[in-house]
Amino acid sequence: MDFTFSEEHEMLRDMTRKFVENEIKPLARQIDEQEQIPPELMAKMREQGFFGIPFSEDYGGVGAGETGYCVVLEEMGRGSASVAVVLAAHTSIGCMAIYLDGTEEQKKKYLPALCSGEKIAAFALTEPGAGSDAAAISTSAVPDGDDYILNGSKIYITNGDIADVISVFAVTDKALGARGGVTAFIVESDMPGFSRGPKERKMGIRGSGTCELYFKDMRVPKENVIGKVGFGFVTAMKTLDVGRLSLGGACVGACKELIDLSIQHASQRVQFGEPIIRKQAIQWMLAEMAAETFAVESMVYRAAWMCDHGLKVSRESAIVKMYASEALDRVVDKAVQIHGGIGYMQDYPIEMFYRDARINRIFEGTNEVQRMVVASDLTRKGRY
Amino acid sequence: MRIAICIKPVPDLSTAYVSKSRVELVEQGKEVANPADENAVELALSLRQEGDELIAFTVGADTAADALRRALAMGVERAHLVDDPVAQGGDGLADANVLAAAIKHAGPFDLVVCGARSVVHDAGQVAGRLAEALGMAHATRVTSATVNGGKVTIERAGSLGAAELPLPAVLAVEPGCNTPRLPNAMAVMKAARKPLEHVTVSDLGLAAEEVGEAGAAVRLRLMQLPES
Repeated sequence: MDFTFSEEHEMLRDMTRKFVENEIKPLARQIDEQEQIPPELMAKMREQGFFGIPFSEDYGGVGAGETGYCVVLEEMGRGSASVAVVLAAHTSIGCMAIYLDGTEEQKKKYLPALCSGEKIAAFALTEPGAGSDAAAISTSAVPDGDDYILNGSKIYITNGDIADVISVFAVTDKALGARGGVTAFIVESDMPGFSRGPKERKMGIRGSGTCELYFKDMRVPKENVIGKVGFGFVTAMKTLDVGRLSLGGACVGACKELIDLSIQHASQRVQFGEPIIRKQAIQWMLAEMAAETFAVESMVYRAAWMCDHGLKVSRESAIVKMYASEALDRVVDKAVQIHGGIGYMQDYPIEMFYRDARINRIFEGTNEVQRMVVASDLTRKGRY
Repeated sequence: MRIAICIKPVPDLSTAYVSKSRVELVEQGKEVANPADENAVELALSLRQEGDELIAFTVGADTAADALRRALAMGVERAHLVDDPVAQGGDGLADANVLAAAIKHAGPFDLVVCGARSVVHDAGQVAGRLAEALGMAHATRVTSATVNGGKVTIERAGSLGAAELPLPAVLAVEPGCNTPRLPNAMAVMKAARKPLEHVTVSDLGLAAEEVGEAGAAVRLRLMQLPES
């Protein structure tokens, strides 16, 4: 077994780390307070090629695969969860549906501008009445000549405020439901009938925009169907399988950064006559944080390797998402505790990491849904 | 113009820590480009005009390839690695012999740039020795340069001030004098896949006594921090 990262991955990591140190970390607090990524930073990220990391160079991507992408997200996760989430929603679910199930024409039409970051993508499945129960979506798509007419709304859509190209899931046959009745569409934000709601005000990842999307008698050409009519649910699940994995990557980065910050703090904070890092209580917390981080890092990159080698990762990516998000919550909780009072203050990044972490157990499929996916796989196979 | 850039592979000191009077490295075996050499790459790139060719040269083991690839990612066209085991373990004199031979072998060049000092020994030997071996003009602690006709005009750090040299010339670049550009993801991937040109000591027509440990005038016996 070769557990080393390739030259490409190491160089991508170094480059991203430098970019995060110089360009993202100094702005992380501002991004949180102003609830926006500054346009100048988005422009620099475009120049660095961050918007097309896993995709083939044939479509304008960087060609670094799922592993290279997890490496980049890990480094981003050290600096700003908001930035990591904007990038991840664009790449791993927004673009991914088109990349996995789009026709050659659709890929050539949409991916180059998405990979360059000139256009931003989003993934629109969730509705007010359909969160975990994604099959209960009610946005409708009725055929009309050469088009479909879409009516309905989506809620809590990451990048909903800035997306130009959105993968939208709508019901084409109510009777069939999720099995054959849902279709995926490529929607462009300038299509008549498309509108967006105001940005939600959130606990964390405040720099990433989350909002409702509305479709009112919106005409979408038949050429914009992703994959096959009625197979939208398959496309959604396939896309989420890959998308969940990279969430783990960002969690790894946050865990490592939190450990580093905690070590630094505990090495300087003197109480009872010595730096608190000499106290066993603190040492054990750090050891447990390291163990969690090693576990998450190992499973993320193993699953990414499987993905890059064409192996099915449904169960593994559900495990990664579930475990990484829960591990990060444990790590960030300990980081707050090690920092004590200062860990609660906005002068210091720890409290931002704490607020930013919580969403990971909820979005991209709640951890309850992940447990359903894993359990269903186990019971179906009758073994591990 | 043809510009040669000499890059010394050095340990990655960004994650080094001190333990029991020794400097310990977090990641063993990882080599990066000497920081001043990255400043030299940046200076060379800032001078580049249409049609110019930039080639990087390194003496080192295969871990030195990492250091070379950074230069490729920044925009250098080609990289020559003398990874012949005979050439390893040299000091400034031995390395300068090898680099000068490698540059002549790939020459002729209008300009040779390298960092003025390395983070390993801080000896600052190579640039001057290269200039002698190549028969070129030489200046050190260079912070910026412009080329005009057959001359290069330079600014230097400290009290040395400005100067003008005829081409061909060797410029020893002052550490930290510029901000080495950050390559983007596409450049990184391209550089990671680009083949390096591997050069042996016999390719260069050098004798074993001139290179590596055998060719060194200085042998490092011990390096440690003072007892505190």
